Amino acid sequence: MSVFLARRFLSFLITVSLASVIVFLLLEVLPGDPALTMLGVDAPDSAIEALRLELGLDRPAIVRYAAWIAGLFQGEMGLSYVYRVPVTELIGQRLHVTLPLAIGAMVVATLASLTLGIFAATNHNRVGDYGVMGFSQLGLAIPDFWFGILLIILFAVILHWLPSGGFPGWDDGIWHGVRSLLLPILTQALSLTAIMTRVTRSSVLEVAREDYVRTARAKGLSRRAALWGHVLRNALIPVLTIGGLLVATVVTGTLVIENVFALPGVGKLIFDAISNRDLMVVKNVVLLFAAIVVAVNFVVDILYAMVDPRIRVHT
Amino acid sequence: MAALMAKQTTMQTTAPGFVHRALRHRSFMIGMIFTGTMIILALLSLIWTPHSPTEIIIAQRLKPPSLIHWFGTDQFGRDILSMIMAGAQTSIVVGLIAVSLGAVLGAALGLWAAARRGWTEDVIMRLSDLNMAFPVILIAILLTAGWGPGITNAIIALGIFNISLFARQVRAAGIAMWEREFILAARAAGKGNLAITIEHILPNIISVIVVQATISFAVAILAEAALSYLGVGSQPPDPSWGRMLSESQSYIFLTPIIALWPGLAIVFSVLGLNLMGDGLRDLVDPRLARQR
Repeated sequence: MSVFLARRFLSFLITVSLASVIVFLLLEVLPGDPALTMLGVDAPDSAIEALRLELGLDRPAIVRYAAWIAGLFQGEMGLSYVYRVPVTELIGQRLHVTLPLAIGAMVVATLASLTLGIFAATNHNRVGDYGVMGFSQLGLAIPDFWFGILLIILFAVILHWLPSGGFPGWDDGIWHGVRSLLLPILTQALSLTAIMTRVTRSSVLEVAREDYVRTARAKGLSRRAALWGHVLRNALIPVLTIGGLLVATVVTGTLVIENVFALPGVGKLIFDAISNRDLMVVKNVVLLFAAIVVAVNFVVDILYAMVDPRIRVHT
Repeated sequence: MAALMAKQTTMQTTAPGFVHRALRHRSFMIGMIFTGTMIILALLSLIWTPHSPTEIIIAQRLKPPSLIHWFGTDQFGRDILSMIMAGAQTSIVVGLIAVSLGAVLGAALGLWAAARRGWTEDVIMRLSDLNMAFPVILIAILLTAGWGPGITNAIIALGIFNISLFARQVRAAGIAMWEREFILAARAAGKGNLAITIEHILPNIISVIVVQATISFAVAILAEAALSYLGVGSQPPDPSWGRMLSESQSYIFLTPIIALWPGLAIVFSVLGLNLMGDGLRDLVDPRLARQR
């Protein structure tokens, strides 16, 4: 196991390092002069020159890259060109919105998909099953940002129950914050629920066909007791794996959802940074997201190998 | 002998029985009808739309659906139905280029990895791992931040994503095929890796590629819409379903209905392609076919 762990960890480190090289190349080297990208072609030469000095663009690219990475190891991401505050601080503030959104969506989707998936599997080939599968097929086809707009139309425009967007912060009490995150969480949970429901259903159906389940039933266990005592335990392993992999989808999904609901999270930060040409923010946030995606895959790999020893032999 | 056996395996997917089974497969046919409708509307919009999809008539702005404007008009008085029809072009073009890129380059890499194994496979798979670190939206963000917004960003981002997706799928299917006995026979007959790949491996896994292409097309339509919605995909005045939605969002308190049509168009197309892909998977998988 330790050899497997070490190998996986090494591959994780290599992937993240290569990712940082790609981010750096795509943002700072290949497009040409970053100072020009940030200020635009109409900016006066003196301003461009000043920014060049500030960003240290007089140094060769390799030195700038090394300085960036060295800074990251000390927990520094540099100053945002537009806000004039450290990028780490900006990200920290924005996580107050993005984290609850991501976690809320994951919790809602897990609860909903387990309920729906188990219901569909226990009603295999009956009306309930078809209903759930139809919902899941639809959930996969509906773009999440459109679903968000529909929810806004229903709950904000027509019913006036919930705000159409924005976020008041957590200072006015938890309820105010939660109220603004309800629709975004539901929006984000839709496609996740659709995918996880399918996996739960097929996994329960598959395990229910195993010999040991038949044995349990033959011993006189009721269908329900066999389901809870024997089937679910094993059927949930693939669901957890998919759930883990979907964390990456959630993380990038927040980028879209925050823009639908005008939530001041990390996703909004990066799109504002693109329009403001704030490369410092874009560079670090993109790398952060890429690192999270790779880290999640790494953790899922490890967990999976712990559950299923055969994986270790094959990799 | 080897050629004969290879032919038999391919036969299962190309025999006339396939068409027969396809016609009787309900969700496949529904998917075909949806997808067909989308393609026909896109083609029709090349020569005819009810009104101009780009002409601005402020006097006609935000009109509800009527006999003249079936889906109503947007905030500039443009005919929404015409914009939806023209928007289908954008979705199809982006999907087609991105999926073809993925299918051709990805399949080539996957076949190569399966044939060579060893370090070739390692390098290809590690590159594919690296690619997983950059979901489509992150690639599009990087390209937009570096080079400015444009539909090309969406196409490149989706293309790169598809290349690694197809490479993985084709490699896995290819490796399984290389272990079959008729490949051993072909090898014994003195054929090289390239010849075996082209004559035996590819024809036998083409169904994997076709099914993946259908599903990827659906994903591409969703992703293009999302990127255009966020402003990092197609740009004005090119009609796009995603951008129509982002523009409509400012008017949902006035006329919520304009946010309905582009979304329905996306759902219709994606549902069609997904149903078709699922159906194709049933139809080309002989194990499932025999159970039927």
